[in-house]
Amino acid sequence: MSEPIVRVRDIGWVTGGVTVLEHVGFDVAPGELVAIMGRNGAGKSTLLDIIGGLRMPSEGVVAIADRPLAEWRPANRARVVAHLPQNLRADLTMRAEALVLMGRYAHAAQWFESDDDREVAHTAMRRCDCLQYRDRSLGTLSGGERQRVLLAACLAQQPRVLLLDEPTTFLDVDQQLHCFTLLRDEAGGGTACLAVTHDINLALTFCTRLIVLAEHSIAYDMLVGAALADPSWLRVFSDRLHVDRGAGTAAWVRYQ
Amino acid sequence: MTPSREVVVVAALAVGLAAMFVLSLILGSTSVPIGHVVAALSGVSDDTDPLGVVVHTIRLPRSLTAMLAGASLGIAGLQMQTLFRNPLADPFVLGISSGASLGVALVVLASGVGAPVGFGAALGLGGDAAITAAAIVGAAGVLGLVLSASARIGNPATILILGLMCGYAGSALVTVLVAASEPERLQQWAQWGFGSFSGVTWERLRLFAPLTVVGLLMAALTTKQLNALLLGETYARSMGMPVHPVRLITMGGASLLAAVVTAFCGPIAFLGVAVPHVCRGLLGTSDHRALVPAVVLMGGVAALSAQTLSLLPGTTGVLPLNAVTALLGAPIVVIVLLRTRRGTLSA
Repeated sequence: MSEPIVRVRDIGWVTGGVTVLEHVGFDVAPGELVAIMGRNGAGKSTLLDIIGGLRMPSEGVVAIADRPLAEWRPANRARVVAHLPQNLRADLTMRAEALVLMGRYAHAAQWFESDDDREVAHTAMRRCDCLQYRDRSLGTLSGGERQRVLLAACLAQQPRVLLLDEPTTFLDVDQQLHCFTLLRDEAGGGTACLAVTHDINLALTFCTRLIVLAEHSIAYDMLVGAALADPSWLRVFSDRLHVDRGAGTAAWVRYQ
Repeated sequence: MTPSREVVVVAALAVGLAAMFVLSLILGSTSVPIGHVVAALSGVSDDTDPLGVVVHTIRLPRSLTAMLAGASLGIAGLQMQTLFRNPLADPFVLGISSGASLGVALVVLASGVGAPVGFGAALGLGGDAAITAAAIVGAAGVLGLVLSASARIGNPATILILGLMCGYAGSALVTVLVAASEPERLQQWAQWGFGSFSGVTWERLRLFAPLTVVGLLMAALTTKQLNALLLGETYARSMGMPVHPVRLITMGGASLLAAVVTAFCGPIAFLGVAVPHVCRGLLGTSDHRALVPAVVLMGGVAALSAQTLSLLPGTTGVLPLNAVTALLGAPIVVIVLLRTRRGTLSA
């Protein structure tokens, strides 16, 4: 396995006297697609924000490419790390293409983007199946359509670390599969991907590794094969989950 | 390739501004034939042409002032609306203009330097500088309060309310000063409150123009960053924008513009909030790379139109500038907003 690009060391996050995270540490290497899972309020989004440099941790250090985040200039960091937010205001009068081109801000020095930037943005939109909305105003798009535009903006940053906070929110089932297939391709191309998700089966199907947060810290950190072999981690979520191994089919978590 | 809507709108506004500029030199208590205007503009006319003198000494500086003031107020409003992601934000809502007014009131009413506006007021640049400095100090005081609070308070709505409170407090102090003032000072103060572009002579323009141009350049240089801010500070940060410096530059630039215009032209309320909305409606986008030039041009058009109309061309009567901007501007804004798609109101 190649050298880790993300190193999380002993991260803690305390807000309003409440400890959300403590002693969280792990590494992520290029090519990994990591699902970050946990119950509501487990600190998944907070962890992702901290890795993205959007929040300063109360404790600990995150290093990207062997350099602590605090030492990165914002524009340099944005050329390496992209972050898909969980929710964003929806009522913008702005063309979808203009939003995706914002993903090129950290790359483009000039006032207007070059043809290359435009090409990168269009490729990203095509991959996210949203190039057809390029001239639509964001306020007129549905939640799922907008989510794909936002994902395209992240890809347009051409990051080496891609952080996604519930990327399949608002997406229909076909688009959920499309999204995670895309993420697997990204990881296959050498990007380190970390996705917060509640969908256990999507995670087991597409991701290489699961990190489960519980009780302020990492309860489980395992490869998908290990997760299927020993399903005790499912108890974190519910007593009503079981791994199902139908003959000739992939393992599957069913509800009871 | 057909030119985009943005290019068409900006080009049309540029033509409109040029036309309004010439018209504002022609129209007035007496209308000046276009030949004299062209002669005065090109420097051909001499002092023996009384109409040329009118154009050169009164109308030209007035029109230049109106253009710069309109552009400044529009840009300051745009910056505030984007920064606070609030369609109602403008320098007045944040209390910045009230701070500037308080500064001016302290100088004019308390120390008696003299009214900043008024044809008879033979003020030197020293008086101007004092009033301008007082307006900027007043604006910066309010801004400092709001900024220091905004470093601790994340919620933009709370910051806006804080600005409103500062504005009320500033206005209250002005009222106290007004109540304690002599009648003729009150008269001058009231006239200042009407707003006017007429008080800025060539000499004063030498101070007014560079200050506004600096403020406008500050806005132009942060255009891309303002775009990123449309989606919130967190998103802007993830795009690689240094949020705090940009916030400081934007608020500093907006208050410089608001303070300078308030100092020289009085509290002109309407343009700051209205011009950005009209431009968003015309452009059909919130992209600041189109909005900033459009707002500069449209601010100039609006201010020149209001200025020209307030003079009631052909008569010797004069309407208060603030009355004209709001009375004529409000219906225009309503029409533009109703005719454009939903979502236009978002900052």
